[in-house]
Amino acid sequence: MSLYQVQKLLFNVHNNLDLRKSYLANPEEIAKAYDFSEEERRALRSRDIGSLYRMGVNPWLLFQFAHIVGMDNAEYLKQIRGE
Amino acid sequence: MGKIVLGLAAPHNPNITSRPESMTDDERHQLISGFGRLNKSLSEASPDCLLVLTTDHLTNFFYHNNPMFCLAVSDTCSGPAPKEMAYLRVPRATLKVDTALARGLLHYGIENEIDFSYSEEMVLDHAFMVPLNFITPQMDLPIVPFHIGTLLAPGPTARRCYKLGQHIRQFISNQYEGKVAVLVSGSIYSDVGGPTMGWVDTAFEKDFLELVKAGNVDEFARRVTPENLNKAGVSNELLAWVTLLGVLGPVKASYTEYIWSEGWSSGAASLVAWNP
Repeated sequence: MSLYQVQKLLFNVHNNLDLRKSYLANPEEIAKAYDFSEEERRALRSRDIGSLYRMGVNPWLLFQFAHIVGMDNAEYLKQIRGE
Repeated sequence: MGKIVLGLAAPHNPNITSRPESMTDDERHQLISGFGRLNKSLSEASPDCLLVLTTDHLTNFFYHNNPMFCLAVSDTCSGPAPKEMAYLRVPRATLKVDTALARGLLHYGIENEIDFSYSEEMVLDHAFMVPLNFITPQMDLPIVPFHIGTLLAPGPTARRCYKLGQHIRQFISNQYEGKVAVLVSGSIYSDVGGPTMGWVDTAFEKDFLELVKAGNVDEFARRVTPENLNKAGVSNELLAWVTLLGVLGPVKASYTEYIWSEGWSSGAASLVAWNP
């Protein structure tokens, strides 16, 4: 598990506005700088918030990330509740 | 020697400033008059500084470097954070830090086997700036920003926070010259990003507020168990409340107000004043 790498990407996208812009334009390119497992890479690529939540990503940070990628609160809750 | 002249509790839910339209007119009125009450208490107490107890929101600290407790010891601190400027609607401000208190407490800790982390460059995110924006809108009262790491697990225990609050009281009473007000910024129940986001456990919060009204601080601290922290949502801000109660001791609250707006994602507003 490289959970820290996932959280680090989310933290950087949350705090660094330039990186945030680059990530939204080309997430795959930015993700290359991090050491993810295949499952983590897939979950990030498909914005599978539910899987990221169950992997143990900090919920507060995950919600910020969901908001940044344009997910609304209802969809976010649906995903983390596994509905 | 030093004196603790006022305790305050206030929320920092960013919706309060970023989306005031999330509240009904009644809720907004109730909230603004509550903040007005805290502002008035602060003016009347006329402290030399305001110690602010809250958690950094992944602005300064993260898993790469994550202190349980951190004192800002620089001459000034500024906020909000760059990531918040586009939406928070709180003007950027630079506040003076009371370094006699901040550095004095740091050294008191060293002498008393408490290894506070400290920072010359702590950015004040919404957890500081939202309540300060209402409680000291001129931003001219020196502050001491004190971070308690409640948002990233594992964090400190309630027992640790309570004892630390008592140590802060010891330091102010015996080694600091001046009048201190202490603010806790945070909600009793807050589940931002957690499965109950959009809802708050009002009964749970009001039980804790009843203890605050009665000045039953030992019981408050005793009830902040791992189970209750788990029940209170992901943010664990109750730990900052326990720290404040450790500072204040068994004092009955002189004012309490509770507001929950369904337009907020999480984090009801509990506003409290204590006049020790």
